[in-house]
Amino acid sequence: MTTFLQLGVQGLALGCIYALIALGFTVVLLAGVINFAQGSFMLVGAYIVSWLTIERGVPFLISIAVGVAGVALLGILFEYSVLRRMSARPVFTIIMITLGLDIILRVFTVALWGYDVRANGDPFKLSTFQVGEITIKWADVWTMIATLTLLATFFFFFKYTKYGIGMRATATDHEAAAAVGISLPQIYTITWAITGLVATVGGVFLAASPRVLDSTLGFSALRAFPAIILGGLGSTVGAVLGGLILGLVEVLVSGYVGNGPNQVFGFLGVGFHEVATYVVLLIVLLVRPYGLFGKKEVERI
Amino acid sequence: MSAETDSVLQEPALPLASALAPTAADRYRLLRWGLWAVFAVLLVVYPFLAVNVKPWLPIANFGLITAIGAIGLNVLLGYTGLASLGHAFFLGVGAYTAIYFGGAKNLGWSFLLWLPLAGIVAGIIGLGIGALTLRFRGFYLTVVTLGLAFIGGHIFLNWKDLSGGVNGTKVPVPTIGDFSWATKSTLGPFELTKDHKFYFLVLPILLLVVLFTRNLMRTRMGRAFQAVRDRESAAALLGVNVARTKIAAFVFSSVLGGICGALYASYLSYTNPDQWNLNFSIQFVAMIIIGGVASVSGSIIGAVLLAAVPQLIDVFADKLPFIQQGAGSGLTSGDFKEIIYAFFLGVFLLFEPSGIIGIYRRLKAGIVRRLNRSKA
Repeated sequence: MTTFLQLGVQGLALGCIYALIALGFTVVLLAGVINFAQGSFMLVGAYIVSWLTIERGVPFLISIAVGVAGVALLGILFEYSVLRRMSARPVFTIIMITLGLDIILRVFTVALWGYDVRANGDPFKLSTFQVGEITIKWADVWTMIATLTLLATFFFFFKYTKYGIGMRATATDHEAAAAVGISLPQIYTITWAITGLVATVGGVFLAASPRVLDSTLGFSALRAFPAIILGGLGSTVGAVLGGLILGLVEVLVSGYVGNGPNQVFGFLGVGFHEVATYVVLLIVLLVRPYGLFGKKEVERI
Repeated sequence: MSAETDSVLQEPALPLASALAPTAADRYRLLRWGLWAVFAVLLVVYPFLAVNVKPWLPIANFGLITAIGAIGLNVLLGYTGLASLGHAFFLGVGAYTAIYFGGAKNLGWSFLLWLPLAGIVAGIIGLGIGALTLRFRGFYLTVVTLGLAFIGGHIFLNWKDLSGGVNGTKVPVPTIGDFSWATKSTLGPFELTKDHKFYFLVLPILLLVVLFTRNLMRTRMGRAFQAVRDRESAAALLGVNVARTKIAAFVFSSVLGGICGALYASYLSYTNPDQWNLNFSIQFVAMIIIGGVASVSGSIIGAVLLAAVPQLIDVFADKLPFIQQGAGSGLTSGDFKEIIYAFFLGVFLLFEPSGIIGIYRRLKAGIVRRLNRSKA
């Protein structure tokens, strides 16, 4: 039971990060783009924060703000220079162009900051506290607090503010939205700014101790990718729930699957938790082809 | 050249030309055959011309080998419209099938068995995956194939007896009787290295694949592929069995992927599970986008170009900017290659989505139009 609770806390913390990543994916998806470059956005954000705090001695929170601004700017630039020419192109074209951006950003990031593993500069380090028999990392607690704050702010913004309503209208039908006077460029700019925010925060916490920051961080975003389908494509609440579920699954699998004591299914192999999210996705999709909370698409002839 | 989907561009030109001036059409046909003959001679002579310059023969070999896989992916993605990011997984299946059946520590069967088996086993797995993913479309299909490729990579990595885990393992070299593709031998005045031998092994295989694919696209099945791509529901209404067509495309593409993977690994003579990753799949997509979507010759052009880039970068690494010189900072040549193909992928998607073959067709149509106008 202790192990389970211990893993549960870790799983929730990872789930929060995945929820942020999935939210980033979904917000951009609502603007009509499937952004496979999300992983590199996280990478860039986390490297900026790490470089500012460690090499430049900037306070952690300010570096995060700078990181968010940097990544948001990157996203807005990408939207403005590339994606704006790509409207009405096939889905796969957009997938490939964002995959291309992902590669380019990743390579330039490591070229700029080197190939070595580095710390991300957060103030929590390895500090922990005890609740009964469970050891909880402060980094995990702050991950959850930051995530919940961001999510609450986002959903308030999304539901009640003028721009949030504009985003939802654009997602439903961007032509109709433009026709009633919503400025699409403005909406897209806000969208990419939100992506920059969640990507940077997600990236920084994903690189928090005991994990480290190196060029493979971006691949973790791909592990969170199933979350957006699991929760139903285009649903923000679904993405957050999907992210939480997948984070829990990954940590529980890493704890319980293996050849060690109290572990089962050793035949699944070393590192099975890294693909566990996709196994879950496949099983869910085989039963419910449109995700847990998704709706069936209507086919038009 | 006439079986491509966009042949509208050139089809009307020929009958018109022959009606107006039969001799001109004859001359045109003669010229075309002449060009093909020169091209064929060049193909045969090429390895002997290129022998003394290091990268040129490997470029051809990697290009021709990956062209087989690229044609496979193009049938799936370009002709049938099923966007998969798991193509490298099928290449891996082919490679590990070759190791299983042909490897010295394993069954040690003949090359004549393990190469076809690489295609067959990959095809069977493609059949399963095609049937499994039948209900997914567009984005869902892409993510599901991505997931299957991740899971497949996990299996490769953990099947240590076969793949050697992270350390990798040796791949069998083609041998028939006493003739091995790994050692040097002489043919008359020529010395044949491993590179030469692979070239003359792969070239006929690619030629067969090209002829078969070209012809397949003219059959009922090939038309069904394209009908499913263009409008699935309309195709179903016209009596195309959509499920069977999609599965057939998956099987065809994975058979070619398997053969390509076996040859690729065998040419490298060593492989580890990480080789068959997402990046490799993206490279194959890049090949067909740069070369030309839904075009057999486009697949080959793209494959050869993308094979040339890394080899040339290795050769000219000390002359290129940005690349790490010694232990200093900068890009490794591996990363530089990634940037190059990602960059060209983006450029072609943005500015020339029909690829190099699209540029070629436009040029050709323009020339034909001008010829016709000058005659009239």
